[in-house]
Amino acid sequence: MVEEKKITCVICPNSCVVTVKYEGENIIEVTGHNCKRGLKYASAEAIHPVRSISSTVRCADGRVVAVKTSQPVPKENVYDVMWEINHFTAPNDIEFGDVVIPHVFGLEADVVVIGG
Amino acid sequence: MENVREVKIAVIGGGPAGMSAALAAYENGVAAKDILIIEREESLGGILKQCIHSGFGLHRFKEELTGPEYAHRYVEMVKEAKIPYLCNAMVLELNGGDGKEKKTIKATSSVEGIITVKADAVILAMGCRERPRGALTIAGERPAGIYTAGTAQKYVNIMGYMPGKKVVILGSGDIGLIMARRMTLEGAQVLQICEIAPKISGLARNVQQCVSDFGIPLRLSCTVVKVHGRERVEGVTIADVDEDFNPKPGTERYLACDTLLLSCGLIPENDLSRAAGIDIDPRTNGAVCSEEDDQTSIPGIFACGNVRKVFDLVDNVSKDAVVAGTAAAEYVRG
Ligand SMILES: Cc1cc2nc3c(=O)[nH]c(=O)nc-3n(C[C@H](O)[C@H](O)[C@H](O)COP(=O)(O)OP(=O)(O)OC[C@H]3O[C@@H](n4cnc5c(N)ncnc54)[C@H](O)[C@@H]3O)c2cc1C
Ligand code: SF4
Repeated sequence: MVEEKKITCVICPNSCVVTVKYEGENIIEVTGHNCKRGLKYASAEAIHPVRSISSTVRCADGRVVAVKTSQPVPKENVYDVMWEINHFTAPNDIEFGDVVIPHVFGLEADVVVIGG
Repeated sequence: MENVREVKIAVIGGGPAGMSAALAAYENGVAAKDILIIEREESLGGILKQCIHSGFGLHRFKEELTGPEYAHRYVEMVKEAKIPYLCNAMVLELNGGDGKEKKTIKATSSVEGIITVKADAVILAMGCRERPRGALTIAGERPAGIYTAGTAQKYVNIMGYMPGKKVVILGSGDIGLIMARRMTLEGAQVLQICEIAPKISGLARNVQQCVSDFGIPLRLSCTVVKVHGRERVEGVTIADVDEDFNPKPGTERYLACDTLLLSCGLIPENDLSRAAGIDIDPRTNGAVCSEEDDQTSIPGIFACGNVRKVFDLVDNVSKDAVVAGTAAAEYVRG
């Protein structure tokens, strides 16, 4: 059965509304996007939605450091990743760019430090 | 003994605007040692340090960065260029004179005490603050648990402290929408976002990924009419409003909550500029500037970024700051 989803592209602030027609895992038609990134995002969003996560980890000395996932994670795993981040104590000497949790929740994404 | 420094260009504020303006002046021939960035916080980066979500830099760097990463790139460039900066130093006073003589800045530093900086040109890059407006018209006591969305953002993202568990948000500005998601991810329950206007003020992408994704109710033409609780917020009464923003009788609804976030827009931070006698647009609170070179009403004082006008996108802030930095470099060359 061919289904249709209207997706607000979140890649850039233009917020184009993209219409995706798909059948199961197959994309049939995409309209309304303004660029290739939007095409890619909306196609994926229709069949396998993913999200980037930003949060903070606490170091052993109590310091709070901002982190993010190195790539988006499946939407259904967002809370699993949050649980891991919240139950992790980072070493005191972490720096910008360090991987603190490799393959968080067994996914491809790592949790990396973005703050000072 | 008086602590006096002389430079060609002093930049007030070390956020993306200040850093980008300083770099532009440097690239346009001003020696690094003749520039000084003065920042009141303990490190450079401005408000971006607390904006840990992604969505920055798509225009400027052609990739999607978080706020701290965007700031980090500029901090690295400032260090690389060896442009001097002074952190933990808050500017208290700016004297621009009639524009011909040197401008004087008085700042207080936690390390050096009172400092005087004399400069040929000054770039204002103090950013903006949140409008507290929404709070003023609400009836009830002023219990703990009412924060602007940006203050809550600082608590959660910088200090790692959750301001509450059951949250109502007034206003649909971007920072409020972003905090709705952030607090939901941290286990809080966002009961309701109320927007008094008939239309959402934040970006559609934030409505999608911060609100719809989590099934958070967002109601338009709706406001908070009363805050309950003496010591701590215990609940709020919300009501729908008519075209004149007056609450419609009979639409009141009570929501038990412990936190009320206000997300009612941003206003340029221009107390310093006003005191210095710079013309301020009474409508936007931004410094009145020439569009070509970002020069204010006092010759040799430039303004860029959110202190000039509120920009939605930090990429555009950086771009605006290049204009000011370039013009200031030209000004000091004479
Ligand atoms: C809470 C909040 C959240 C925001 N979230 C986003 C977002 O998610 N995305 C986005 O694109 N934009 C966001 N903005 C807008 C944001 O302000 C700009 O994108 C960008 O940070 C503006 O850069 P700026 O350098 O003009 O100001 P800022 O980043 O605010 O930098 C100004 C700097 O000046 C310093 N300063 C101010 N007064 C003095 C003084 N008297 N002496 C010394 N130093 C001083 C401040 O400490 C600060 O470091 C947000 C704004 C706020 C207030
Ligand atoms: S489709 Fe392209 S232009 Fe439109 S919102 Fe997405 S990224 Fe931006």
